[in-house]
Amino acid sequence: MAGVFNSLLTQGHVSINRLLSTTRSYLGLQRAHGQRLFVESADGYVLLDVPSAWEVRPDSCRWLYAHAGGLIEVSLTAGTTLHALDMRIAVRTGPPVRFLLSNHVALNGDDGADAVPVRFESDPNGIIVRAIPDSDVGRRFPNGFFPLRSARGHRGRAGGRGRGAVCRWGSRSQPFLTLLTAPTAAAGFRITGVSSAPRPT
Amino acid sequence: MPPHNWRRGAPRISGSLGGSSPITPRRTADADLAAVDRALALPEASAPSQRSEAVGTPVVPNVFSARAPLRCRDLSPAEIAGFWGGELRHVERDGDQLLSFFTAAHTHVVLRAKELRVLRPHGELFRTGIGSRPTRNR
Repeated sequence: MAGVFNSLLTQGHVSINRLLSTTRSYLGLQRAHGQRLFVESADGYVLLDVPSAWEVRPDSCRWLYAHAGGLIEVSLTAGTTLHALDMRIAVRTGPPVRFLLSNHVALNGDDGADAVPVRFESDPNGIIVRAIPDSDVGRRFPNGFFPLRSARGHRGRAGGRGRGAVCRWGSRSQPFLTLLTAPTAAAGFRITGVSSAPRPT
Repeated sequence: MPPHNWRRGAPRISGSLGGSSPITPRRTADADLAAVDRALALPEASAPSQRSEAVGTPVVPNVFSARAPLRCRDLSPAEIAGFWGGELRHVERDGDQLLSFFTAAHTHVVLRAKELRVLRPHGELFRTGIGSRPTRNR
C-alpha cells in the first residue's frame, strides 16, 4: 500500500524469473526496492509513499494521493486474458506534472542487490529489459525479455529525449531502470512476461 | 534496550547478539529476562572499540533519501462519497476517524489513517491469467 506499485514481480514461480525486487523493511527504511514513483514538485522529486486511500479489488489496486497541489491516482491491473500488468497514472486534480518511475531490476541475481547495470534496449514502443547471459534467468531464457511499454497514446521517442509522455529513460551502472515523463496529466506503463521459450534441455 | 531516538544523519553503532538455552516446558515468565542481563554481560555484547571507517561518513543523498515523501492528507467525507458513493459496508472506525470499509463488488478501501495505525503495511498479491497455478512459462 505504501507506494510500492510492483515488487517481487516474477514470471511463473515466485522464486525464479524475477524482474523486480521485493520490498523489505515494513518500516519503510529501504525505499528503493520494487517499482516506485516520484512526482516533481517545486523542491524536486518527491516519492509517492503512503496514500490518502488504497483500494483493492480481485484484479486491481488503486492508490489515491491527495496533497496540497492536487490529487494523483495510480492504478495497477493484472490482466486475465493477457499476462500483463498495466499501470495507469492520472492527475485527477491539479496541473500536469512530471513523473519519475524507478524500477529496481532483479533479473541479474541476488534480488538486485549487486550493482549490475540493467541490460536494456529501446524500441519504438518502449523498453525491453533482458537478463545478462551469466545469470539464472539469462541461462534459462537466453532470448527472453521483459517488455516495459508506455501506454498507447503516451509513447515517447526511442531513447534520449522526446516529446512524448515518456521522454527519457536509462540506467546509470546500477540495477535501476528509470523512466521520466514530460509534464502530463496521464501516463501508463505495461509490463509483460518473458517472451521466449526456455532453451531446450 | 531502552527506546532510542535516532536523529537524522547521526551515526549510531548497533548490533545483535543471539544465544540459545535448553527448551523448558514452562511458560515464558518475567524471570526469563535474566537471560538478557546474562547476554549483555558477555564480552561479545560490547561494541568493538575499532570503529568502522564508514561510521560518521556523510551519506551521499539520492532521490530516495534527499527529501521526505509526498505529504498526503486524509480524504474528506465528500471526496470519499465522490469516489465510492454512500454504500459503505463493514465500516471500520476509531472514534470518529474512518479507517477502512468495503464497497461495491469485491472492493476494499483502506484509508491513510488506518495504514498509519497498523504495524505492517497492507499489501496485495496478484497473478495474471485465470489459471489456478502457474505453468512452466506463465
